[in-house]
Amino acid sequence: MNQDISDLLQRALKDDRAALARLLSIMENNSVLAAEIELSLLPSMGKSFVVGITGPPGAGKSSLINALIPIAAKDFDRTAVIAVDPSSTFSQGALLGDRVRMNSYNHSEKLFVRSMGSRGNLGGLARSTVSAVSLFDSCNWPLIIIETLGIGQIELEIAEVADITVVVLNPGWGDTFQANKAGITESGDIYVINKSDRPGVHKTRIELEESLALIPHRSRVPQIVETIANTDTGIVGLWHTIAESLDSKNTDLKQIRELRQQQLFHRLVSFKIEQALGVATKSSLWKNIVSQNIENPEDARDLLDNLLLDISTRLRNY
Amino acid sequence: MFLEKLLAIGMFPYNSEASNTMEQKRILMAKTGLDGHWRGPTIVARALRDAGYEVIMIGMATGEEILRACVDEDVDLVGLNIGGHINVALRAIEAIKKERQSVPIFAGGTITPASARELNALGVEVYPPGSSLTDIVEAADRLTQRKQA
Repeated sequence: MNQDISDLLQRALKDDRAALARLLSIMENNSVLAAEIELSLLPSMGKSFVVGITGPPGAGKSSLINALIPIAAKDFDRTAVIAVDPSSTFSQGALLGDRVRMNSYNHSEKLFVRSMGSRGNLGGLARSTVSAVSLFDSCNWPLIIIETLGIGQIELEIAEVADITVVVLNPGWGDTFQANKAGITESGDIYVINKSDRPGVHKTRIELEESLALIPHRSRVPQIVETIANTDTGIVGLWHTIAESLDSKNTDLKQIRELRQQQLFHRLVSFKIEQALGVATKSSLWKNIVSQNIENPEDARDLLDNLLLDISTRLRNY
Repeated sequence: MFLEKLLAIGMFPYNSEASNTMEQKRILMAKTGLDGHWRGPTIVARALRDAGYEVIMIGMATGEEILRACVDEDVDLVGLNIGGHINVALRAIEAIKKERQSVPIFAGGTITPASARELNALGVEVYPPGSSLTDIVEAADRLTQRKQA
């Protein structure tokens, strides 16, 4: 880690916003540095709550966050928002538009909104979103709200990262079969039916309720809240539900801290393996896989063993 | 400190030459005018997106809000959409020049020739209606080289 980054870290930890912002860019641009930075942040992590907001495109995720911010401010000194939008697979460019809906409190010192392009990551977040959480956490932002990009059915990385996952849907969203498919309806802690002034809200609620009641691996049936973000309808109730959920699920910051620590090391290890694999595949052993003469299953297993041996040697030699 | 300890025992073994780096330039687009329509900034944002930029839209904003977004989003360039009056734009320019000197600014929208001269004098490039998207993207390419880390 070079001197510049150490300096930036020292400044960010002393509440210098520009340094924090610069570090977020560095982490986005360079996953090697992101890993190094996160490792050095470990001792100061584990003080924040992370709320994830997810749902299909246009469900009202940004508008809900905009409405929640002033209410959350009663329970938390400061709020950081990480808003992820999709990057183009053609140009790598992105139009990050979540801030447009979060325009009510742009001026407040107590809010830090950061927009992120997904940059090719497929799980609904950017690859560096988790690193950004570690940084905000270490820099004493006690509440971190993550908005995923508009998801389909299975992009639910957020449930791993957030302490509480809020899934935002709208009236008329799917039918009984949609509600019972795997993915979106089994990963939320709280379900919001936003734009609840639209027709079909009752049917959507019943179908969701029926589906959620059948989830086998949950001790609590997720709650369903109806909101109209644009008119602040139901927002106080939603925040109440989130806060209650945070209380009941993870009052224990120690537990959160342990979980984050575990996740961080899993991530760093898989990152190292990925890196080693990236280098390995350029070597002659790996390039020659295609020309290997494989005549029986034992040959295939031998080749696999050789590759694994190669990777583990590379990892040891790092 | 923990950081130094980690460095000392060689806990940062990652191969820095690996290919996980990509410098992605970021541009902030803000509306500063009384004029509420989105067509201009959206088309420009779209062209910049297709040229590979991450374009952060903040909609109608005050000078203070534009500075805040400029800092928090760590952008390489600020684009101001102006609708007639340039007062808000001037406040944003002043604030950015004071706190984020290295971030260049360009402007577009309905700008009178007199206002354009005033903006030019402040070092702000002006792209009035009729400017080609190619020219705007070229300007972004040129201006984003300027920023120091």
